[in-house]
Amino acid sequence: MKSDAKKSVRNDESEPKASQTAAPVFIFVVLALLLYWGALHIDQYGGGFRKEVYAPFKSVKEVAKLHPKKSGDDVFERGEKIYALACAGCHQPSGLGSPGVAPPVAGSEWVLTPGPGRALLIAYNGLTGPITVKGTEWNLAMLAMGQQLGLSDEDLAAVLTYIRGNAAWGNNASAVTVEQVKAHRPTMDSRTQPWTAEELLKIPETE
Amino acid sequence: MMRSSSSPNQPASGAAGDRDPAFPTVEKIDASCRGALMFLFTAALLWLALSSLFAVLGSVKMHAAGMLANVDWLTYGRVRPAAVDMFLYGFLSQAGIAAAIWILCRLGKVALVSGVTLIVGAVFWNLGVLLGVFGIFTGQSTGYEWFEFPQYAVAVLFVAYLIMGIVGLLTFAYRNERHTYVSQWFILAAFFIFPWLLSTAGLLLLVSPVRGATQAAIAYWFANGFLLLWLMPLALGIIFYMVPKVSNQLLNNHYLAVISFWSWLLTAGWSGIPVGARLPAWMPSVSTVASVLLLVPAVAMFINWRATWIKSPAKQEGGVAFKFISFAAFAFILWALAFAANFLPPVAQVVEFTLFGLAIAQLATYGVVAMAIFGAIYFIVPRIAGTEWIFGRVKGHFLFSVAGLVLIVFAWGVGGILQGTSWNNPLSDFMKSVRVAVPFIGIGTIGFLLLLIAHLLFLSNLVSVIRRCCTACCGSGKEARK
Repeated sequence: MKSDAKKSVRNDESEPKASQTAAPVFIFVVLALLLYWGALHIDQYGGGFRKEVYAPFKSVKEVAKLHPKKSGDDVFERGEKIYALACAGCHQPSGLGSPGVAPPVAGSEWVLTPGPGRALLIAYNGLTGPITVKGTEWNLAMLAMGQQLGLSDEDLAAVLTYIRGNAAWGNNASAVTVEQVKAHRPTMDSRTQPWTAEELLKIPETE
Repeated sequence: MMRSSSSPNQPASGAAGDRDPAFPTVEKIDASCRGALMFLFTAALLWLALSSLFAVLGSVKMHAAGMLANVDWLTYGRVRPAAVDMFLYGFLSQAGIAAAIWILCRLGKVALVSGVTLIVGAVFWNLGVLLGVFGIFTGQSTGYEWFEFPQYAVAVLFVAYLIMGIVGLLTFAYRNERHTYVSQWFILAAFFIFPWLLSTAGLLLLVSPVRGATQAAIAYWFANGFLLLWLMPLALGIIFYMVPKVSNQLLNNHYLAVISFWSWLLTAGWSGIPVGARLPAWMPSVSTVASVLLLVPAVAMFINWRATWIKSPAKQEGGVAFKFISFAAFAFILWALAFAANFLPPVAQVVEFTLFGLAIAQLATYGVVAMAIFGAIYFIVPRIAGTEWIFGRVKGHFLFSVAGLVLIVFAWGVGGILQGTSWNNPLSDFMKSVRVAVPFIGIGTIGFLLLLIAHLLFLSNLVSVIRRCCTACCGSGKEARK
């Protein structure tokens, strides 16, 4: 509003109004540029809007890398290490055994029983005398590896889980729990001699 | 300054048919606001003086921790939030509502619908603040920043706000001038958003608290909304009114104002979650983007104001108020830049959890909102009370306020950056990062002392205005209120 002479004291009667000129273009350009930058920023830092990605991490991948692996994998990896240390020397890393040294554990009917009992007892107390594995007769002696190395229940469960469930060898028997090992602990500890195939066959294959 | 010659039948002044003869005169409009607004402004100023006293104490305690430490209700953890909340709820919100309602009356060319109802609401509001401050001093603080008042105080504040807000909205609804102006948009947005903020935060944080990290997200949302969607829109409404009013010019650009309003409103609510918040990463990163996007409305508003006031060589007699308003405008653009920078990850890495954040909050609440409200009070009170200010005290108020604010923002800003740098240095021990900030907190205390002086000058000036108003024109005042 144009001021007039009367309003030398106060311009109170006229209230603010806005002039209807066009808005400057640069403000739209700035807005567009900032929106573009904003999209890039959210893409870089926003973690794909996933609720499990917390600052300062930026993606699901980054977070997954820092998470501890699932417990099943842990047991399997522990078993692999024990196998390499205690078993692979004779039974071979491939699990196929070696003629005149040790029968195979890959695909062996002594390993792939519903329960882990027979294989567990062999691993802990050893074996002697004739035994038929996959149609072939063997007559060798195995040391009480578990007993000599002082493997714990957890170690035994892990190594048997690894042997029984090793998909690379074609094995797919169930994982072995610590409780299953504990159930055999009295038998294992009281045994002073290696087992024979005959004795082992008396143990139900579900145990 | 009542103009005795004016009456409803006075012919419209020569200003291009600005006033319809059927509309009430500005004197009538101002008279309708007199009682309620003087009550709100006086109560607000009392809270302001009290809050600055406790702010000094709170700042002293940061470098002299032993002072008054054996009085439990004067410990730092109670004094500082009490000072901040008295300032935010007692002064800024209360005076902001009053100034906003006057602007709604003036722009709508309508008398205030009910001054008595507004006073009832104001009494409850002050009761709510009093209860809240009492709650903080007795150790019942909720622990949420800017939301420390206990549940019962929030309930009273909510009811009090509804009463005052409804008076404001009805005044707007009964307006004579149907065309709306940008100030009205900002004020109405604030009036609708505030009850939403207060009730949502009250229900989800105090009445039946949500679990875990959600609490933090809501607390951030509330504090951010309280500043950007309640206090700021009130201040922006005031600045948008005062700049063309005092310059006696048209606002430079209507469409720019439309863009600023909508981009502000759509963006502001997304901000407020700091970069290092322990929340899903998308929340702080969206906040960062929103805070930077706020630069668009901020710059748009600033160039709009500047283009308006630059046309007017003489600031007419609103010059006293205009000093505060233009300071608020400059502080606003500075704040917008600092605020956006504060949310950028490389900056946040240094300044997060330091005094720097407090410096930005002080710049926003005091430099922008309080300064705009000071300007509005200096403009409004002579009109509704009919008495002039003592100009020397106004000048003193301005100088002490600016000096105090600059000291605080400078000291906390620089202190915060040094604190953060020391903190990020793995070779420097933690206590070193604490010690480096102490001298800066000391400078801040001087700043708060200056603010206290400024506010006491302001209060004494208002008391003098009221005394003169009561002795000289009380009779005519009563008459004007029908």
